[in-house]
Amino acid sequence: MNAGASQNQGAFCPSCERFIGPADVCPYCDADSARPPIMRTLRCVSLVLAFVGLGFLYLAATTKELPTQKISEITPMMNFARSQVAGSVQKDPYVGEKKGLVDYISFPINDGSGELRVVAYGAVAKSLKDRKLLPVKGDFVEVTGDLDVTADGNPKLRLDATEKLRIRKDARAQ
Amino acid sequence: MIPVVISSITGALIGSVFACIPGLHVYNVMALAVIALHLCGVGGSVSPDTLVSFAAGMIVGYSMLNTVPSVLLAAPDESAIFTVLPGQKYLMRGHGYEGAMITAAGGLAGLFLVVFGIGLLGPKLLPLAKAVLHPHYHWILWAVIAFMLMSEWPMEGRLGQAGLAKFRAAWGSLGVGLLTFLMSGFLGFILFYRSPISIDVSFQNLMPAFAGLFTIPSLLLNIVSNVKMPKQRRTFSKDLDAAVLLKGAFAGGLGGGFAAFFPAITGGVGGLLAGHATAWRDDRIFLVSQGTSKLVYYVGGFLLLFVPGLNMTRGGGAWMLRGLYQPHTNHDYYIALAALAFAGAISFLLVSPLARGSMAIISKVGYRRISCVALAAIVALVGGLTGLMGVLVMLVATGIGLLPVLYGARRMNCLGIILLPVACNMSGIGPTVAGWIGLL
Repeated sequence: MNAGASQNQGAFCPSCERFIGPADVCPYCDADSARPPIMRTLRCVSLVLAFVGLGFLYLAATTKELPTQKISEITPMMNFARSQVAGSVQKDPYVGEKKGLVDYISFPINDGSGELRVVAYGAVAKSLKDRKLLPVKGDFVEVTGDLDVTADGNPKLRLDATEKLRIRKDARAQ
Repeated sequence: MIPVVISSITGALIGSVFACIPGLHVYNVMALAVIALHLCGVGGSVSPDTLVSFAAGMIVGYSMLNTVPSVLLAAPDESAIFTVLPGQKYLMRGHGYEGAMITAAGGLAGLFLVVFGIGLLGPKLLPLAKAVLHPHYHWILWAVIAFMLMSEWPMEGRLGQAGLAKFRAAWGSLGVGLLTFLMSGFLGFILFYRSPISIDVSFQNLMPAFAGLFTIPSLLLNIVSNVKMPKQRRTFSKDLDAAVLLKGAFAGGLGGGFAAFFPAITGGVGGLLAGHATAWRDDRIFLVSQGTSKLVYYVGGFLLLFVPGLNMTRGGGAWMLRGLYQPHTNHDYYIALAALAFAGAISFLLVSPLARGSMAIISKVGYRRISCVALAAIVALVGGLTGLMGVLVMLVATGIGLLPVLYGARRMNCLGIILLPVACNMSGIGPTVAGWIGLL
């Protein structure tokens, strides 16, 4: 541990020479520690950068419009992407149950370019069924959720909030 | 069989060399490979055996050799001399090479645990463990978060006269720790629900934030604090006995195994839990356990993708491979095990020459220059992979990542970026919380 006097100089107060560890101000005599001034500058810069940057990032995120994604253009590099797709429901939703409770709901949609499976799990699935918000075959839906893309070429979109499934009955004929 | 051996050894060589470059993560290199495969349109034409064994080789090589920069480039600045980690103590005493070798021995023990433990018992035990534990993931995750936050101790305020000043000093670092956790958690929510990063590279959504939270702060400190590495001895004192190795491997196996199995828990958190659970206070045990924990976390997590009947994806490497090839047979499982074993043997043999080579380069070039080059490389990599928005996310994350380093709190608090959103999602309240903060 003995790394030489120059190595541990900063751990001691330059005035009273007592051990002060990483403190900036000596708790015994209130003298400034011998830490380089750049460290203090960095402290302020990091705090400002963190708060201001996070604020701007939040504003950028909340004002970002989510474009509608073409199903045929989904690639494995889009895994986990928050995405919006729109298309017609190809089959009535399948309700998977476990011990008599709704476990998941799944239905395929097609936007003309390709097919994708929309899946809702747990509380979201239960809420969709209880509130009778499930689409039927032929309905036109807009869905927002997280993409799950694997190498088998069957992408899924995980719906995580009931309000992110919008059924447009007016567009059914299309 | 020959392509498997060749690709696992090639993967191990590449992973080992990249592991010695400070700040560079194997998942970044894998991401570049994935993008290249997709852009060239040859992702589907590479044989799955080659793909699996190459990826396995890279991950083993990285997790074994990552020890080298983590010990040799972790010299603390002078004020932290009494609060340094064992690896740093070894470095400051001139025994950095020995510290790296002890940690690598732990890595080799970890590989034995993965190949003979998960390899033989995994298909029987892990699906059962998943079935039992899956409904409890959410509260276990909250318990881990609570332990992580509550086990932090004040770095300042332990000295001097009692009173408000001492109280404030003590809570200064603790408060910054909590603030770091909340801010990184908030950043995590933004990236999970409304990421500003292009959808075309969303599989690397968290990469810029991780670079900013963990990599860049260390490099910046190395640059500004002008730390010098003491003269290093290139010998091994041979005081690593079987008892130390077994104790370290047990602790590391517990921590790494826990982290590999549970979602959102990383090797560092697993190591913290295992360290408290076993409470062994020997520096050598700590180093062995760190090596074991890291290897079991990375490699064990990757292997879970292949365990028959488990259907579990853990870690960035497994998620990226899943986009290229979805393993589904026992054949894949045995290929992965074979590749891990080959790659592990090669990687361990590379630790000594690469550690000596790194020491020679560091003493010749110096910390500051190496850190500058590494910083430029990581910024270029983030910019190249995720564009300008990725660089902006990285900058914000750097601000958050610097807080614990500069104010004396645990850097582990930055893991709020995944722990908080994932814990909320698993408890079924993620979308509700995202809605409250206007992200849904």
